[in-house]
Amino acid sequence: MPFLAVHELSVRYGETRVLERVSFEVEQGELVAIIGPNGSGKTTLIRAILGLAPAAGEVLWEKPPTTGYVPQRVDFDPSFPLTVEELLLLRLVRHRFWRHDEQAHEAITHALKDVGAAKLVDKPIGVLSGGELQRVLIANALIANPTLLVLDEPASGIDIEGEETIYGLIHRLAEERHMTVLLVSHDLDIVFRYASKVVCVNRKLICQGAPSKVLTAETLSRAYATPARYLHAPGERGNHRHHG
Amino acid sequence: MPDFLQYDFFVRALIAGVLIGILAANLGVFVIVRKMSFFSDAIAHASFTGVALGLLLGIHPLAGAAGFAVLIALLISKLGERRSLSLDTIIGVFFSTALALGVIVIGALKGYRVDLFGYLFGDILGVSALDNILIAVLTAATVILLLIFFRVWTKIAFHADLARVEGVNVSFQDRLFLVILALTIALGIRLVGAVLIGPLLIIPAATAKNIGWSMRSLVAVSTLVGIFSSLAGLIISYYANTASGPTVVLVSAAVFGLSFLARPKTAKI
Repeated sequence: MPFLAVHELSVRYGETRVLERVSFEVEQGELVAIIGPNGSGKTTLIRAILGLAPAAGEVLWEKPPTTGYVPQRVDFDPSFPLTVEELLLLRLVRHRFWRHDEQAHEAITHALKDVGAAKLVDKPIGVLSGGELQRVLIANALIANPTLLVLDEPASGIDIEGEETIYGLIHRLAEERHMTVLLVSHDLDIVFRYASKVVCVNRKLICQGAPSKVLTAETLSRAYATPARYLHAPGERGNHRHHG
Repeated sequence: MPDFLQYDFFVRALIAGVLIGILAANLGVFVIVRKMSFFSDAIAHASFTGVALGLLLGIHPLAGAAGFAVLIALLISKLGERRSLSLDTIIGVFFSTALALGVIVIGALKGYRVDLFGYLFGDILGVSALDNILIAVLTAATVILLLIFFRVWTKIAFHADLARVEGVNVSFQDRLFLVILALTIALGIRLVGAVLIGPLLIIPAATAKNIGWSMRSLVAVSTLVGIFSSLAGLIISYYANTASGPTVVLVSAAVFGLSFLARPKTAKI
């Protein structure tokens, strides 16, 4: 049994079919990149896998994973009154929240150091740059020692140099901690460099396999072909944002 | 000893003011970070209709207020989940419908009901010892729940999906919060009225958000502003011979004004 088996997964919003009968498998320790054009259902696919979007079909786990999730950065409210330390403390439920807890502080500083963000510990979330927030969100995902890390376009809107650093970081951490990674990306260079497997979707599954084998001119033109009906379908981002 | 402490009714009012100050200021933090100010106002107006319904049906007006406020809060939340309409549209519909119903019910009540106006603008000087016990129980229960669920509620407010992936039952927690909020509002209208309970929830937390950058500082500052506004407002109203509830709200608005001037340039309300 693979780490994750997705079987005939379909998602509909009203009359709009966002995903149709997508099936693929993920082995433990793989870094899987999910690619496809805007509005192709990438975000919906990982949301359905995580149980955040209503879906038909099956999502089977070898054993239930501990999941670290890094949603799209644009979903965060920069005026939310939370410091980096407080955000990470929300998950360290065995430690005190209201008073300074040295052990918790050390654990948080350590988690931030792993993602190159130790100096941000006392900063409010709202003053962080895009790259800094991304690192903090990754630290937040990692602090519970997940077996599965799921990232939705972790580097969107970050400059090229920063982008490579973030992906390099994810790749290094995944290897060090033997984590399985599901990653939505639109950058094929990055996919070629870091992913062990690629899943291309454009409403349906277009291809899956090792990047060098499946990313051919033919599959890419199929994956990135965006007939008018797809373009006019409501985009995944607009449809599935969840706010409390 | 200041002379106002000689009067039992004023001491009861001070106790009620401090308790509702603590309660509203703490819940207000979540009302602010979840952007639910309009929602809390709508519940306040619905609870006034609940008072009128209570009087019509011959049950305790506060029980009517609490029941109707909880009902409307849960209905708005249920309809909001469907997302065919935006939440503020749904709130707008319920807000006006509840008020219209309230006016019709008041019309159906026999005679001139002077006690109704106490629920519209509050009558903190008229609180009984029993009222204070009710408020103390609700305050204690809410503070305990807040301590238990603070992290969960903060995480939901920050990013509901993150909370879901981390195993939080978001719908249950949302409903729990709404029920506590509705009960607080219903009880609060006895003290400051349906019109002024909204500001009592929102202004201390908004003041804290002007100058605070962390959840810890927000809760601390909001609670202090809530307590200070209640005490200072009541004492000023005693000496200036002004209406108590509105004076409390004006004091908290003045503190908000000062915090707005003192805020760091990057702060957003």
